[in-house]
Amino acid sequence: MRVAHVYQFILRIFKETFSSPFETEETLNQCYLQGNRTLLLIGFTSFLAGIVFTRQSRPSLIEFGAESWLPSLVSIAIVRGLGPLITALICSGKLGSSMGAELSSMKVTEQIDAMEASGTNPFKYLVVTRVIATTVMVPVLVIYADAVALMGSYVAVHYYSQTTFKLFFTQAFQALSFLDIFSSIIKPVFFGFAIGVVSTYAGYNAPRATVGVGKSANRSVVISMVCVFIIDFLAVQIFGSLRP
Amino acid sequence: MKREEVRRNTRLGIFVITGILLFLFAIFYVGSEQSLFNANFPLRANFVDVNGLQKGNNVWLSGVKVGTVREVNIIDNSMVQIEMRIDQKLRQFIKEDALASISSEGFVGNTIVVIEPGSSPQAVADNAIIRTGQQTSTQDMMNALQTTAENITNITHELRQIMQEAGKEGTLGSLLTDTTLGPEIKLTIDNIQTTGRRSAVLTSDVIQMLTQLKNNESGVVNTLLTDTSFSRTYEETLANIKTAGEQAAAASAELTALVEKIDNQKNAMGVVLNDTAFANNIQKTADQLSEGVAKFNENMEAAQHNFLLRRYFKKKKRQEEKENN
Repeated sequence: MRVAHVYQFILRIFKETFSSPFETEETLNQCYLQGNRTLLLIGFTSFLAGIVFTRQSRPSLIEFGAESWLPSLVSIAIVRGLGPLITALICSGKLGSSMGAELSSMKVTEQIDAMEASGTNPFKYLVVTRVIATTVMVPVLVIYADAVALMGSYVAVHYYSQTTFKLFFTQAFQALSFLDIFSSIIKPVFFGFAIGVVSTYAGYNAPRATVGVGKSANRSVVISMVCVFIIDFLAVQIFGSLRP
Repeated sequence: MKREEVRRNTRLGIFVITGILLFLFAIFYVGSEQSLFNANFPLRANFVDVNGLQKGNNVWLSGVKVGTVREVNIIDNSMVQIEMRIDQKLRQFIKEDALASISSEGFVGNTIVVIEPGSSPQAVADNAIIRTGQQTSTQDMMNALQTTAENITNITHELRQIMQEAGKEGTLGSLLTDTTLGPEIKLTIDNIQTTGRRSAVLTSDVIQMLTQLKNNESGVVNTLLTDTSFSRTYEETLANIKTAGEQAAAASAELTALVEKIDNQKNAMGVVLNDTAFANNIQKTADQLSEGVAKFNENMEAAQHNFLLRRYFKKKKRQEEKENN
């Protein structure tokens, strides 16, 4: 990947996003595929993550005699970090690989060239719609992931301490601030955008060979994940500085 | 639009709308926790030290969360002013003389503001500055704990020294080391218990006896205790006893003087009682007298057989026999 090429690619995405004709139908289709079709996977992993995190945090809190702080600890951890990160990593794996492989195979089989020849803008149809879909759907998936992870956490807390649902969520939300909620939504926007850009770039610019499909799929996943961690690191610094 | 496409879009719409509703719910819940959507009123308090109080920290009234801290501002060199937002519905419980203090949610919890309601009839006004007090901070408690720990260390050290000294010699040492003492103490305690039980029985008997004496109205003791007229007689008796005693003492003194006089060898009785030579003479006289009487009896026996006196004795004998019959 060359930086200048990537920069031009991103610039073109922005340009094509706000210029007509809008590929609304395909965008909605991509949103459905990336959102609805990923919900089950995200929900399942988040639920397990909530249980596991609660189960592993509990002994440490018990040592300090602060078991009652478990809902607060878990809610902060899930909303600020775990929820967005788990969602972004799963999306990188599932969506990144599928987008990279799909576009690269289209490239290898010259379908993209055929689209251009038929007068369709392949960049807008294939790249912009997918990037918009990931940018929009990853934050929505994060909201679900947070909610389901908190439910998982509640199940674990209730199993050990018989805490009521009302008390758990009161304590969980007492520990949260608006900044936590908004950071939990704003961060995934960048995660989604990065996953979309990296995956479509890898697929759209895949080498014209059979190995190009595998390479671009692999590159999509690996670079997406690295980007997610870099963005998360930057977001922690920025939102951390905004906290009192 | 194809039917499949409509169905997909509907599902997508539901999916997105549900996500947005969840997000709004979270916003509303967090906002309500921070009293953003409730009617509230501002309240201020000035502190010298706020112990790390921050915006968003909770405000408690009688252990219940009633608001949050909105602003923490340093207003001069030694004063920090905090602005709180308190639930409007609870204004009636916070009086003009309410007292605010900085505290903590448990030992490792967040810093909070604790309001004591006050007793004034007038509820607090908007933006009023209420009185402040300083509660014991965690640092104060830690300092106190440190002092206590040092004291305990010293006491333990001294106690160890005492025990070491006591273990060597002295009463305490023998108490601690003497193995026979335990059974003896146990035996003593058993004896004390036995004595106690017997004392209880004895006390019971005494009570019973006293009750019987009290109930026996005609008895001597009851009369002594209850009959007021008897006291006069008792006093007279005592006076008589006293007089008799005095007289006995005088008689005793006279008797003593008499004995002293008798003891004196110069008078006859003294000689009789104390002179051993005189006693020997008397003894000899008595012996001679006894011997004389024997001889006299012998002479009398001889006289009875004398023809001159025989007749007289026979006549006397017959007369005696006659009297006996």
